[in-house]
Amino acid sequence: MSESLLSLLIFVPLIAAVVILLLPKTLNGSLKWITLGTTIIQLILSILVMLKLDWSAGAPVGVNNQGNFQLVENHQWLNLDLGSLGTISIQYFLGLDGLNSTMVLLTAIVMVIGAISSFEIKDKRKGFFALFNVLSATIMGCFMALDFFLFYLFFEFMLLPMYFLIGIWGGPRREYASIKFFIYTLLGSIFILIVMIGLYTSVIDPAATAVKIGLTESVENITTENVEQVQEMLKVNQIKPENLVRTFSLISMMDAENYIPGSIFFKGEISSFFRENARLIAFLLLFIGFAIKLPAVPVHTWLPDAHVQAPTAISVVLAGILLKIGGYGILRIPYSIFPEGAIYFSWWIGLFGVIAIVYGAFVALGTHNLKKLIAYSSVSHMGFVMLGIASLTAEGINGALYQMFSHGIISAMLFLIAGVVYYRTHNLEIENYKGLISKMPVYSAMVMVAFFASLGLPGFSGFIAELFVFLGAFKSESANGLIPIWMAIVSTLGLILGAAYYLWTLQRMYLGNFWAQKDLAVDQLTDLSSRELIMFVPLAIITIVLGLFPHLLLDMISPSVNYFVNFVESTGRENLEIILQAINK
Amino acid sequence: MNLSLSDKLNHILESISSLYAEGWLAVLFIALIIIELFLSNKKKLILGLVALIGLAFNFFLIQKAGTSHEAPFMLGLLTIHKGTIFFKNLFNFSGILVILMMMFSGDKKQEDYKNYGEFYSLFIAIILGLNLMTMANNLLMVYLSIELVSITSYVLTVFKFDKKGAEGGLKYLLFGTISSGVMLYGMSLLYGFSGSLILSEIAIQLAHVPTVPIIIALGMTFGGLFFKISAAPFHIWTPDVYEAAPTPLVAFFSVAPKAAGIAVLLTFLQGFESFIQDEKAIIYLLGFVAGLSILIGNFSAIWQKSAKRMLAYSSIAHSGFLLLAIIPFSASGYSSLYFYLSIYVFMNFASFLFIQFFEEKSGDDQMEKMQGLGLTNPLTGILITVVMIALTGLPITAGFTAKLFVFSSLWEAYQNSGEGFMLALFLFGLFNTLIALFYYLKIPFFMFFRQNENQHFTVQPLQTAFLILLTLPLLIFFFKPDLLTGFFNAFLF
Repeated sequence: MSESLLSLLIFVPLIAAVVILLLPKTLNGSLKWITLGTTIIQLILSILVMLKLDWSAGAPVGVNNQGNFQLVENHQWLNLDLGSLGTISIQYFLGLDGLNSTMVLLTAIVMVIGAISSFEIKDKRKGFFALFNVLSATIMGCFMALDFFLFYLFFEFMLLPMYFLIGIWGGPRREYASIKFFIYTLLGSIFILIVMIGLYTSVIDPAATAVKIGLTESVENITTENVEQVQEMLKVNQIKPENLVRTFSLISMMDAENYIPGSIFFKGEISSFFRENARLIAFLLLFIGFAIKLPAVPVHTWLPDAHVQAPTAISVVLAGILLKIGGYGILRIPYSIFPEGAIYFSWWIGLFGVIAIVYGAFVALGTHNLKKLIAYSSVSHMGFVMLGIASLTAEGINGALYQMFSHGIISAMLFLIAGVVYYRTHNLEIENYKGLISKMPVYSAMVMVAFFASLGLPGFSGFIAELFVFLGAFKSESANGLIPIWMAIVSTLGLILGAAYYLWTLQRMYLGNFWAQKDLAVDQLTDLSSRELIMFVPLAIITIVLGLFPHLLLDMISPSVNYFVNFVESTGRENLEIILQAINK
Repeated sequence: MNLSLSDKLNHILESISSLYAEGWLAVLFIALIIIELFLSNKKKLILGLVALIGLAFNFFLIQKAGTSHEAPFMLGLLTIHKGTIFFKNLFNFSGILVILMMMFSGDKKQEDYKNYGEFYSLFIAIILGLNLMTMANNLLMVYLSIELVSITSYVLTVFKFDKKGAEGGLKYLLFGTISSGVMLYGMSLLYGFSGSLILSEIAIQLAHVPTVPIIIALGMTFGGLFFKISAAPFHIWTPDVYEAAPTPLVAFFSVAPKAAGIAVLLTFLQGFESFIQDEKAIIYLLGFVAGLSILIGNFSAIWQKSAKRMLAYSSIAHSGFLLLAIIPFSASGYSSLYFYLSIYVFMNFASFLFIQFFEEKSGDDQMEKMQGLGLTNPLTGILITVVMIALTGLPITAGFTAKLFVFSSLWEAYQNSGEGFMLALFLFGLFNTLIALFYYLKIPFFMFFRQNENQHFTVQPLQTAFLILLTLPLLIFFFKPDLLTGFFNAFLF
């Protein structure tokens, strides 16, 4: 079973979805329990995965070497023969390293919370829970896939359940919000698809090609000499086109030796419409594609709409995990495949990160709707992820990954907070409430934990994350000269503004004497039920534990991140030099 | 060919071995008329059965005739090229689906049976015409086979015998004759330039003619073909005809004549390959038509309220995508074309089958009336959502794979030639998926997002099974596209 642990993470919810669809109507009451059970199984599985992974010093770190991933599952899925153009190989290829293992854990945690939160769903439950499980499977798949096709399949298929979940069970403007979400993210997917098509037609799988031209018997007993031999032959055009095995494997795409000379993404001198910029343009397209998902300003506008309209459980999943696919995708795909872009565009990425931090915070300060406020605070926090990534220092990227995990937990809490009020009164206008603390003390305590964690108070996970991002951002100018120090300084403004909008909201909504707008069902405003408490408490504990013991997470992330930073920076600079030389010629 | 009469006769007799399928269709055509004379109105369902068995048997004949003649036969009138057998199978398969759709349609009135004989026999004639189109190697043969298809199509369009049908049929006839005229004029120019009707001979002769007149002549000839595949700007008839004609036939119109038009286009392009390689104007023309079709199809489809009209415009857009698959002029392009066409058959028949069921229950095909249908009939709702997702071109359906192949071959053409034009088409086509999403999602949108307590739509189990059979391949061929591509590769490479 341990060989297919990762597959189980994907297929358990899928099977649950099918079971839910097949159950007779009389058992509709049990659907939520099935879903909860599934997510708990997923959580147990992912904890098992974490225990199985080797975290000791010198353990394999992954990133760009297939052998260094852990729990790898690699099966041939498709081998399409294209005659004179060789074959296309698509693999069912899953694996974990420091970049994605924490994301898998986060997904499992947040999905459990989401499942408990969806107990509130009262109508059309069958559809809801089936879609919820499909969503869960696609998210898991997206984080673990190491084959571009497989990744894209999960990435894009995720939109469908999300579209229906927002569109059917959402708030009053759900129809608008769901289609806006779909169109925006599909636009991002198209950017990614463009590069994907370009990549797989440019890149070969050296191992499979070696088998095809008869250097060795099978892929299993391939040696590094074989691979090098194939790459040498490729360079001098010795391999006949029909023997080339084109691949979608992300790992093969990260090695510049696997590019067919003359193909668009081959680094160096080529003649094409893009000219020598092709790789930089490809980086940009991929980056924009993922930035829409993240979301970065100015392509963030789908997020507030989707969040405000989505049912609580879906908001939790959306903010808690879906946004992280954007951040993770940036690291795994554009940064790893086109590292020169990471160097070349770092200033701009940093700038947009800073803009997101400050702009998101300002809008959050001005908004009147609690859910919208949280949505914009997400925009602001995702800005930190971008800034950390842009700095391309070990601290910055550790911080970005830490921020993704921490924000996943905290934003889940924040949307639950909004959900609690919405469930009772169906109104989220901040000025309609005052002094909720006197009516709902336990709830307000949770609110304080979440707010303080989110604004980055020491002792909570948000603080560690932002601290690392700032360390990276400040260090960058002297260490690698990628982003200027003023960006780090300006982005500290985000912290102050964050404190401002959270504390102000706290003051307006929760502190003081109780008052509520008289149209509202005031008597509904009861304190947390035990079901709600079960959701809040673990999240609160996790954010505090991660605030006090950051090494729990950093031990998992940092070996891979250190390797990743070295890899991206060194190959990036090397490639960039070649490209710039070719451009200037 | 200056052969003596007996040589000619021998040649013709020898050629017949490649025409079993067509001969059988001709026999079937006549047989259906004759059988109809002896049947009372009640028993006319038998006709469908006869046609069904006839077409099923035809599959066997198609494989048998296969690729027995590589060189032109029947005195150079016909030829069998690599794709012929694929196209014939496709027409035959679509034909079977149409007849099944006719038999599956629910509540029929007595008088509906009255014209069954004519319907089926004329329908067989269309398939015959389509088969001949894919084999035509001679301008006259091209024209005759296209007209055989067109004239029977005009007649069949009005087979509902209502006002709308008459309007649609008349429009079809008027636009059809005009575009036939244009095509005929182009062909006469080609004949005038070269003194020959046989494509390969024309291609040789054209070397001595200035290019501009050739481009004009070819452009006019292609006009008629664009009309058949309803590519912009020759698309205007499409929505009206789709709205007017009987639904099973519309499903057929949206697939088979389109494939045949593409096949003839391929014959022309392959015949004039050297000319086109030197003179890019024809490729630009095709690219322009493809882009325009995608654009017009997509933007018009957004505004439609009737499902059939929406699918009519969508079929215009899909013609554009089919043309995109031709433009690279490469083996992978053709392979992607065949894949696209095969998937297209399933997508379109599935959606029109659903519309047929819906129309029978609710009286028309307004998408608004599908409100709440997915909530009362979840299975149908899910199936149609899958079909619409496939039409948009998203995973996990084969619609995505088909588009991926088309765009990959375009990219490769760009990579090999470095022509920005290919890249522009590539990007243009991809971004149009975004617009397509907007209107294809309308049907699932009404089905699931809007409540309607009065939604009484129901389907019988057998009808659902038919729908599943058409939808399932869309998923299967996503996970296992090699099942299909293996079939093409056998004769492509």
